[in-house]
Amino acid sequence: MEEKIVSLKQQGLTLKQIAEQLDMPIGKVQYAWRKWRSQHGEPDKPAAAPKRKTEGKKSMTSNSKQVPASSVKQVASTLQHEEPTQSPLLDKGPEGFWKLPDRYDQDLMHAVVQSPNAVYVFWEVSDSVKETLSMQFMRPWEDLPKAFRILDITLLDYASGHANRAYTFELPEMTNSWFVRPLDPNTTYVFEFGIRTMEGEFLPLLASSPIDTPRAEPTGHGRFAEPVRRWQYGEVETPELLDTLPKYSAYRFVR
Amino acid sequence: MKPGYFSLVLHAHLPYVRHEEKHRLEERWVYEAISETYIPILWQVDRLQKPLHWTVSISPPVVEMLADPLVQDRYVEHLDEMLELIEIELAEGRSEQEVETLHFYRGRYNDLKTTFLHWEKNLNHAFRTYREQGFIDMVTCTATHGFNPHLFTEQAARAEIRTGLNCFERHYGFRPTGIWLPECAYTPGVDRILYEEGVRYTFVDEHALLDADPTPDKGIGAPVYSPHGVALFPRDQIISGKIWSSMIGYPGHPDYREFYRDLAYDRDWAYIEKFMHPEGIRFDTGLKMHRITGDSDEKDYYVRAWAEHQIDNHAFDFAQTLEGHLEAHGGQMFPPFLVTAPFDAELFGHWWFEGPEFLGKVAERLEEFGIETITPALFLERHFQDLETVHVSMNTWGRKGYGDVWINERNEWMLRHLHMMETQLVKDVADYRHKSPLVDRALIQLVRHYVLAVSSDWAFILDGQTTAQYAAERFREHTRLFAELETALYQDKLSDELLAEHYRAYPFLDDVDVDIDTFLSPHDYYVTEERGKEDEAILVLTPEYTGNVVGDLGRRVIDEVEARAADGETVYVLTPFKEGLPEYERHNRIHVYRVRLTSPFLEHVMNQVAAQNVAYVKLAHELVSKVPFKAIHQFDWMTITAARSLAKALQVPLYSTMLSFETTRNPHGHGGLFDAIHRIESSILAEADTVFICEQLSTEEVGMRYPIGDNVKTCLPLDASPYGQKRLKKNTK
Repeated sequence: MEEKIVSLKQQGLTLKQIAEQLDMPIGKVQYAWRKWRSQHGEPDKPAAAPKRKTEGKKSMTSNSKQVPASSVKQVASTLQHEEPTQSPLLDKGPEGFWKLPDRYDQDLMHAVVQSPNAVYVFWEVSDSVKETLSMQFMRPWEDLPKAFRILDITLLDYASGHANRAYTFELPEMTNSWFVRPLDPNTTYVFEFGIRTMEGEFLPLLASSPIDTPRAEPTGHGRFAEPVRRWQYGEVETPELLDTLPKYSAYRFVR
Repeated sequence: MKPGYFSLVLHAHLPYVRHEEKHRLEERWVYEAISETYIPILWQVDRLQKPLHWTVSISPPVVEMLADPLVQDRYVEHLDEMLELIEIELAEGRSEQEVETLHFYRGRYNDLKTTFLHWEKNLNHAFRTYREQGFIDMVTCTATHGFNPHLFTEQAARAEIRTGLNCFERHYGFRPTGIWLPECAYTPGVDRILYEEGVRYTFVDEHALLDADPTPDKGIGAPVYSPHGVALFPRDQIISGKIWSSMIGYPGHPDYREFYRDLAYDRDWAYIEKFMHPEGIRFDTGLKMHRITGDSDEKDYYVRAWAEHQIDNHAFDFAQTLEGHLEAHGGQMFPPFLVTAPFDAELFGHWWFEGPEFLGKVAERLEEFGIETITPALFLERHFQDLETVHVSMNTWGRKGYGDVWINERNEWMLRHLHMMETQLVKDVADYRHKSPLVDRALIQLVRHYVLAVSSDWAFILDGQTTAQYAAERFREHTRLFAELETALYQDKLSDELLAEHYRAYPFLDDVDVDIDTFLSPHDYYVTEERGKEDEAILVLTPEYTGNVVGDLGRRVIDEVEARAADGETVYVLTPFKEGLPEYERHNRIHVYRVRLTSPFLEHVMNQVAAQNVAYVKLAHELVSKVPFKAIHQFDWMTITAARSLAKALQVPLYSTMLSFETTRNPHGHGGLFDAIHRIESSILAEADTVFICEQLSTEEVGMRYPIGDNVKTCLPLDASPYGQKRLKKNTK
């Protein structure tokens, strides 16, 4: 089968076309092609290698480059597509020496376990999101009250919006991390950072991935026993257990 | 033979503290470990000359430092200095007790040198030889001892594991099926990566099993399988505690050598200066002349014969304790009861000076007592069918049993930078791999900088606050090197010289150890390699689109988008998610993303709209990493704030189509929401390059209620593109 895929690929078919022709999932075709290429050390054809394009990203992450509004806004073709010029980790302090960046102008939120009763969460809100909100609510970002929500979603799907319980508290301005405690052991949590709107409603901006707090005492036959058994005996195709180390993709939304 | 087994596991690890310049205090950590632990353990293996069933884990930083000619030569110099100091001490006319101990040290340092030179200064050869002779078994650890529960991506965890195995294999000639996870830290999911990388067993603390779900029938008397089939061997705390605890264990006995009293601090500076740091820093020589004797500073002198006597006593006591323990569990079958005792190797010798000899004596006593020792590998070979499968939650063998040491107020600042490095690596590998051999080497070097930064040692040291400055500086330095090399990659300024310079700073790991594809995600591969170059595209934000068309607006948007696609434009449409419709669809040149709110249960309209706009902005952030947008076109007031913010960030023209205004929809409206919408609508009139208003609305009418300028125009007919001259235009008519 691999030979067939390679042969079709070399005839110029796309992987999607090959998958259709052979009636195989695209993933299998991709895998076979990748494997063949890595085994044969075939260099990438320069023509097939797309030029790296993160200019939009670049302009989003850097405010240093001021382009006169008049020249930018005339026609689309004036937009310069640039290669990324520097690492986001490259930052200079006042004396001109490298320093750790204070922030990366991204939207991210991550939680790591400290103990069965405590989780460390850190986050960052991008300038674009801050600006969108201040336009929406006609108030500077700094004046919007910040809040933090803890959701217990044990045995629930976070995307459904349901939670076993939720607790929201105000955060001091300029906060970008928190040791959340006390929490309960053996519980699935999601943490959200957001603002309180004028109506007092909590508007989440960022959410962590679901995270399980560790168990701190024997559970006997607890909530994982059955899912583990089903997975062990092949009754399910994927384990119904949270994985702390998800596969990250840089282009997850580019399909 | 007694029922049951005993398994001893020793984990040798130090952070990578090799520095090109001389006199770094930290490099003494290596000398101390070699003198006090590694060689004394090898002496015991050599003395006993039989299968001990000890499992020695040796971490890649230790392997690499032991193999490093610079470290090797400096260690010999260090031994010579020590021998010189001992001679001077002996010439000083010390007390009888001191002289006796100094003679002991003279013999010992000579032996260290003989052994070290016998193995041609590379102790990896010694461990490898004894392993090949079947006296010990060996496993390794992850590349730099990164704390796996606090990594963010599977890629980083895999890189740590695979790189560690590769490095070990290069030095030891085989790939171990066991691994020591740093800090015995386990987290759900790491077992899948281990299994995929060929690892079949690792070690955890006993509460990992005691609190497992379901609770294992045999408690800690047998290993268990994790959900992905990696055997987890639990540390038996009671038995281990006899050895490591300074309170209940053997090392605190008053006849043993005192760790905290060193000759360097008992001598005048003028006398000892020659052997100290050139900048006048006093540090331990390793010559410790006293024994433990109580809590006060007044310590008695070390008496070697007494210590040796205690070693014998304690080895016998340990064998007897273990015998009782095994007999108490003698009824356990399938598998028989197993006591696993994993330790930091450096505990033996460095902290407990007599520890290696104790282990040697224990090996002899266990044989006499008929207690069978076993390696985890051998245990699995015999009993693999008898293990339960359970869910184990995150845990470690550290303070309080979880992540307390590696994440707290003293070291939390490192995490966000590590996260950034991980995600940058994924992106860089997708974008640049196989562009040229030079670029691939740069990617390897970036991984090297990352793994050196992610070492759990920095967090550990910052937690302890001893040598905290060194740990923080090392972390910063690896991050800086990462940033500088990544910048050189982006600016096309790579060269052999630059890469050589980066490698020279920390010559850790061979290029062949690092597989950059560990950071590759199949999806990124598809996007960068298969999907091809993206055309410049139009970003459309609309509250209504196919599948969610409520009125005229939706139809107008569809018609416009399809007309532009027919012109040859690529269009990305962002529109609200609707249950039952796919989150992503593509029709030739039109990409439709149906975007979920950041929360599904918001009550107030303005908050729903805000949440929707935030979601658009976040999605666009991701899209622009690959798709070049040349214009943004928004429809209706509900998408104005995201469109304005994105147009500013992307520095692209902003187009707006308004089929109605709040004041035309709702001529008598008033109040908060009305005012808010009115103000948002006003803002687009000021901010957009062009605002198209519907044919039914007159500019005059709108102008009575809103401040309008030259940019306001009546909607163009569908066959006219609003975006001006386009390079990509295809004549489809």
